[in-house]
Amino acid sequence: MLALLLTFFAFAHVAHVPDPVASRRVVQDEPRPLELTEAEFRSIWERIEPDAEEEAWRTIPWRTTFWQGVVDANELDRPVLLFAMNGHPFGCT
Amino acid sequence: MPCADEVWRLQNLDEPDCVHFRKFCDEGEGGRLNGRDPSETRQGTYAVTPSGILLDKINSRDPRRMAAMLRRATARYAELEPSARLLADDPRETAARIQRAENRYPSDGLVLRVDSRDLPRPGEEDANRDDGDWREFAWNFDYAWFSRAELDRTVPKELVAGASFAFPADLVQRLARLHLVDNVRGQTAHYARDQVRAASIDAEVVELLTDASGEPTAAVLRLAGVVHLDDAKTKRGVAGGMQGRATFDLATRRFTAFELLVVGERWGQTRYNQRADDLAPEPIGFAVHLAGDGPTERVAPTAFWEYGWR
Repeated sequence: MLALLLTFFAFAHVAHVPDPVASRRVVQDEPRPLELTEAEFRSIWERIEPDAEEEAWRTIPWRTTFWQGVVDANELDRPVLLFAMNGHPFGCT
Repeated sequence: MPCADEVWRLQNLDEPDCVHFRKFCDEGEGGRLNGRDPSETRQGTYAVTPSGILLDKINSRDPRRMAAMLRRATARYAELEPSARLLADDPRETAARIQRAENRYPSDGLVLRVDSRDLPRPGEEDANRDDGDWREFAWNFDYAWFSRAELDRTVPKELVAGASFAFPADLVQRLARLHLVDNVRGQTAHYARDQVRAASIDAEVVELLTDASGEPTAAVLRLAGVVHLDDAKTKRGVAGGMQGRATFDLATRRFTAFELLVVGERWGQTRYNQRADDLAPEPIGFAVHLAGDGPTERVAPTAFWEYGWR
């Protein structure tokens, strides 16, 4: 049901062509606002939103900058564990 | 002491924390974590003393290798004298001098979290999909910031039931081109202003909430909109519709609830978003809502430099 619903809303305004290169979707009509029922809205919303297991990493008492880690580690005489990524690991990376 | 940070800034800027990072990031067995080229990213996990002595490092998500690294690092830490492992000067004084985007966190404005995820594809029995493909579980998020001044011009001062208004075009364009992007699998590129073919959010006041005396206290808004981003040169894009609901407190002039669903399709690829084998248009969804105020939700927007805040 959800797949069917999404298919309808995502593709109602365009034609699907199987060849990926030639078919970069050329939107033939401009997108239009969604018109979902509350149940449909909630079903898609809950599918996108992370569940508790996916958000479990937030329960670790992270410091969100390297220097805040240094500040607190220096005060408590602890080593610093730094997780450094291209794009902040707690944002989009 | 667990902490996380963005590594490009640490390895390239001259802020005190960046200089401190570069004292140790290339030290240790094997040198740089990710290759010999000095320009290579230093992304990875480092264990270090507050004073800047490297204890160990690794670039792996294998929990066993990570645990072994932590054991080695804590043992080495214990071998050092406090005078060696701790900073002599108070690092809190240095903190006040560090310039970074998070210093601009709009505590009096609006902070939205934008979650992204692939949606079921045509003919796909999503409930039964279990082939180990990353599209089964990958999701990502970014934060969209709006200053107090931007929020003030988003919602009119006078609101009556049934009235309609459009969110400012420049702010919706920014939300679309920086945040409604295909980042599901990883960091991706944003869109330029001239690649925004359509971006709009219209609001309708569906109800005015009142207090016991009948005075309006909040406005309930119905939201509807569209987005169409098209980078013809790299043959990528995002197009879809929006629907949502929000509650705007009239006294504080801030949103107390905000849910905007975006459903559409993405196509094409960028350098790091792992879509090389997935170029055709396929469904994607975004859930845009109020961010929490915990420390992990105060991270700056990925493309904050595009905001142009001075």
